[in-house]
Amino acid sequence: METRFVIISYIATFGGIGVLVAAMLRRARVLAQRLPPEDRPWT
Amino acid sequence: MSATHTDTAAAVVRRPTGTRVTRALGIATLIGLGWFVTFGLFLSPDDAVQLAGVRILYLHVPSAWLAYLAFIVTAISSAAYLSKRTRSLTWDRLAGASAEVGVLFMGITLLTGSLWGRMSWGVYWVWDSRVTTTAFLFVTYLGYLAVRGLGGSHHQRARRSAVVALLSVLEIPLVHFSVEWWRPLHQQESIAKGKLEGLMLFSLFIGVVVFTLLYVWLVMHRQRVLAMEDALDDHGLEFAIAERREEALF
Repeated sequence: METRFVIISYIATFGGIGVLVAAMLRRARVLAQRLPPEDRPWT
Repeated sequence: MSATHTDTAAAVVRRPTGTRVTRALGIATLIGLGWFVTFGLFLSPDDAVQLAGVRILYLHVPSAWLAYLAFIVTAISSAAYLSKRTRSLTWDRLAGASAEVGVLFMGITLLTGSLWGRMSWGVYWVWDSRVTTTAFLFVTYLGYLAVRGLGGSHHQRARRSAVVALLSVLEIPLVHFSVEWWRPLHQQESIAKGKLEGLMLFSLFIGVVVFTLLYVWLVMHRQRVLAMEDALDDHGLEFAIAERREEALF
């Protein structure tokens, strides 16, 4: 039983982080296409 | 437009929030995650009592620490915004980005804690002081994010959410010391009392380092996304004013 719970924990943790990262980067791309470069001073 | 300029513009849209620093940080985080999974799942030994279940603690403890750190950064950034000397929306966006990442880590803490509880206590959830105060902290910061989403100008948003952040951070000592004050079912501090050693302690240490790198990477990107959202809001207003002026002229 322990192994099953351990695997679920790791998949849920890194899956959750991965989904958040993908959504964040996709949102960033959409915004960047709509904004002039001066609104991205870090680039 | 030259080919080089076009390539650069395309790279900017492909990686709109990325810089050399975030890329280096991202690579270091990915390598660290590989190490973490290798040690956490394969190289560290099973615990004598918890067996393989101890491997969940390598996720659970670092994510709880990182959630605390994220919420403390939110409070410090909020205080910096409220101070007249350092007032800047950059602080507000840092506070918001840190809170979002903190909520993610707090969610991971609750989820991994629930799975660990099912193995150790036989139930997914108990209303003991540590679990309850942690859930309360999680809900509080969901509320903080909801407050950030209310209407108004950027500075109105920043002001009201800064006040909420400074009040919310007061819950952290309550959560942290709940295991000392109320004798809950949740175990007391394992690391400070030397219950973990050798490869187990090392796996936990890698977890803390990697999650910290991940936190910094996430906050840097998220803060830039928030800056672009604010800029788009401002441009939206400019476009609306320009349209109204044109209507008034004709």
